[in-house]
Amino acid sequence: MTQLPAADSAPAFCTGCGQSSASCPGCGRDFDPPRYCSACGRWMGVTVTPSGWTARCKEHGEQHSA
Amino acid sequence: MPGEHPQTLTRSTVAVRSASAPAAPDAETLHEIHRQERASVTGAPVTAPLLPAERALLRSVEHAVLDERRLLTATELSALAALPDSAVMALASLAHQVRLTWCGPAVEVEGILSAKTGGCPEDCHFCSQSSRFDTTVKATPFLDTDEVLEAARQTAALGASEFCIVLAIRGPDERTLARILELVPLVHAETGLNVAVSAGILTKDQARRLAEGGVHRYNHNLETARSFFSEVVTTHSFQERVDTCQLVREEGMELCCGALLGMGESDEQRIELLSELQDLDPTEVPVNFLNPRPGTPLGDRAPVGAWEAVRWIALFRLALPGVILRYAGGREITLRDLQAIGMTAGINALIVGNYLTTLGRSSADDLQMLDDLRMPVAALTVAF
Repeated sequence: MTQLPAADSAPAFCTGCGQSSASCPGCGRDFDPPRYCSACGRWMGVTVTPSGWTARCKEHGEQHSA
Repeated sequence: MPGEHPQTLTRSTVAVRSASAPAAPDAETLHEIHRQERASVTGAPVTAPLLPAERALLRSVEHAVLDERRLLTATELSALAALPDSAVMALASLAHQVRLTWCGPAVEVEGILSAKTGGCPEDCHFCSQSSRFDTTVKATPFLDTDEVLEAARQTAALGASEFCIVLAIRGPDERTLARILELVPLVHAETGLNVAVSAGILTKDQARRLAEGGVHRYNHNLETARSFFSEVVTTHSFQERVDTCQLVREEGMELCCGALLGMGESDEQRIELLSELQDLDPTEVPVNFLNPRPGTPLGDRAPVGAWEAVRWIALFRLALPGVILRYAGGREITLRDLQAIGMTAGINALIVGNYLTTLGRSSADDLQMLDDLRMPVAALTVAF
């Protein structure tokens, strides 16, 4: 499993559709959790809870809401 | 009085207002009078003064719901639905009075959790969790017990009294039912929250077991009118939903039965839905507004407008004066900055925090809104 890029670096992939940032500048909507990994563009399983969300990328592990 | 309609302060109006039983024409006549008057004020701003027929209609409705304490008829609701936008605030104000009179000032707060997400075999056209549509929400396993308990603890920390465990399934199989029956007492014991469940279509035996297992309230939405249902769901029938709702009540659980507005249904079909809900007599009615999900058949529909949403919140309250009327999904994108107005148009409950697959606005913002409105948070049950 590889590490996610630093939080302040530009995402390589759109978290709304999984395409590279070069072809999609970001189509994720307000009030949607990320569905694709910003580092590799893989689809992520997402658990939404009353106070947050957890997304799991097979390559990059878990990501959590702030 | 600045801006007052010149016909408002007449002796006859004052006399009508002071009478115990307003002498209003019947609803059908009012509807026709209003239709004629409305034709002359097309495009009126939302702050325009009410026309005489509009005031008479609102007075007759007020008398029916607050004095006679009876349910409005479909004809009366149809007349209210036809009021112009300029009357929506007056409609909302009346709905707020009805809510206070029938239910009191308290607001019930609930958290919800999708414990089993995606992969649903049904084809509800609004839902991103259907396996039949190419959406970004895929099937994921049933959450483990620790995850469910943690979500319930989050809900309790938000000041909620209710926690709903939701499963994206047609109905529970034996293994799923056993898992629900395992979780419900654990959540209640851990948090003290009332536990609600939404797990699709039930048999009578399943409803009985859920009731005996401590399920406080069971959610099963009608979503829309019987006459529109087949436009948005083809894998089960409207009657199947009604049957489950009736089983829930028969077996002693509180019924939570909601609506989803904005799928293309007509005003008449919304009123048809209200009539169905009046017959079912649920404890709670969650009002959802379509949040068009990419990949679903309704993914390209425009959201309901904010003012239209306020109108229908008020109509739901006027049609269902004693229910717990809950703000549910879609309010953030539909009402935006008007969410507080919905709270003074008949809403007396809300889902705080996130929804099943989408995020809600900050729970701190919701709780601040209730504090600003001086609406206390409390558990609610059937209105007197």
